[in-house]
Amino acid sequence: MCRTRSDPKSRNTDPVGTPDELVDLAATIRSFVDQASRGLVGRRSLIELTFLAAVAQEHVLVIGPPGTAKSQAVRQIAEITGDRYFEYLLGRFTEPNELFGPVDLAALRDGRVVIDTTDMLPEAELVFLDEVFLGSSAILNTLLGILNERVFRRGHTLRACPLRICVGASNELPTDPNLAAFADRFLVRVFVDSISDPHLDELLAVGWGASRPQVPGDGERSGGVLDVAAAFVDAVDLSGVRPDLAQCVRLLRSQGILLSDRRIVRTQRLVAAAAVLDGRLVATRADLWAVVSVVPTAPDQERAAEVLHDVLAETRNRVAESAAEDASNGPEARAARILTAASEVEALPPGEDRRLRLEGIAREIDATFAPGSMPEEVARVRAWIIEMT
Amino acid sequence: MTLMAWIAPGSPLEAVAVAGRDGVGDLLSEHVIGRPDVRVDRVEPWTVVRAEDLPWIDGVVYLGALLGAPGLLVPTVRIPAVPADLLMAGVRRMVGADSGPCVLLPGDQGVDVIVLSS
Repeated sequence: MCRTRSDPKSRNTDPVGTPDELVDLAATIRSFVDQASRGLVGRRSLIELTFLAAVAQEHVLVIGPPGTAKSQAVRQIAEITGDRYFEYLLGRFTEPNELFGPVDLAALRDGRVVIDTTDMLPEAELVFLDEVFLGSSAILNTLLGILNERVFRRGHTLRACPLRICVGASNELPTDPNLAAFADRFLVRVFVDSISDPHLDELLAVGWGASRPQVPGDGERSGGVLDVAAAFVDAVDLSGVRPDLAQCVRLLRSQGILLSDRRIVRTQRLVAAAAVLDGRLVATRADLWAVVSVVPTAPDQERAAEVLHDVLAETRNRVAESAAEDASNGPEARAARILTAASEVEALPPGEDRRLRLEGIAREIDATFAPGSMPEEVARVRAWIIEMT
Repeated sequence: MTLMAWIAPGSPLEAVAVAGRDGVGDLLSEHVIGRPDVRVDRVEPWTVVRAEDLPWIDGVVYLGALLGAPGLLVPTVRIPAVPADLLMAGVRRMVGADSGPCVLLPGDQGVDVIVLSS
């Protein structure tokens, strides 16, 4: 939806000013760039080029993988400039009215196709269109008029658009010649990539504050156990484990398992949640098992568990025992699960069922731990089982 | 006698058989008497039991399939520190290419190789 800012900052409406004013203006825009870059790692050039294009009143095409803060960068520019802003994620089934507005039904009764553009793209000054090349030909044709001439034409509607700049985004440049012609309307091309290995620590630290999900309705939640636990997540100290998390990402990358920057940043919330479920407000390596669950495919999750095996050796979690063990295959998680199972069986009355379950635990212990590397507590459980059976 | 180093696998292998030596082996075979789903092989001093639901007796060794060496069973918590394909080729040379599955176990003076019934 188009967002209007009633308090645009320092907008100079004079067509031409003095040289001194121009120096001040440049300083103001420099300050806008600084502010729009806050909280974003490795996106300064994208923001600078977008301001450059905005001053030149040209359009920008950003090419790069998903989750690389393309939309966030443009959104922050809109916040700072106060421009009326419209953004949309296009898909193959996006209808033109989702961008340009619905047909005015009252006018339609009179036989005229008039578009109600209120708060829609034709009224925006700054537009961000994600997956821009997925738009239908109807959408792209209408967009062409807006991009080229700043005029919106649809049905009987013809109106001038205040559009200053349109930022389109896509994973790759189109190969279809028709789309290539459309892409040519974006004079500036910016190629972004996932954050490089040396900057992962910075990405995690900077992204943590902004990673909290926006939940407009969270005030209406029940305030039950899960809400209280979720509130603890924000208070978790991740500083000690962040270098290990960055190292996990590097290890995964070295094996061709790629996570978007967005997933990398948000993984911190899972790690923090794992600490909360284990009753701690300081995240440690014991919580990194959650990383495996953000790997998108089953085969890659298996590989991730292998690649991260050493890092995840300290894994344990008193709530998510099985998930932690599955992810890490670490001895601590296996031991924790065995100890829990043993304490459950201990509470059973003597009998055949108890004996069979004790044997099952002993079988798991012997199939899992070599005698020399068996944790002390597990060895005690094993000795107790021998005594009981 | 075969000299070979053994190492802990990254993760324990999935147990598909269990072996017991001497008296433990005797107890093991007694434990599964009458079970139709079980295959028992006795090659002195070892007894090897293959079954879906493996028994447990103090002193047994659980066996799992070594990745990359089909038909070769080794302890779930100790695997040979030798590339699986080389190991497989060596074992097949030793026992014959047409023999059944083989178990490798750390023995008193090296490696015990047990050929199981097909």
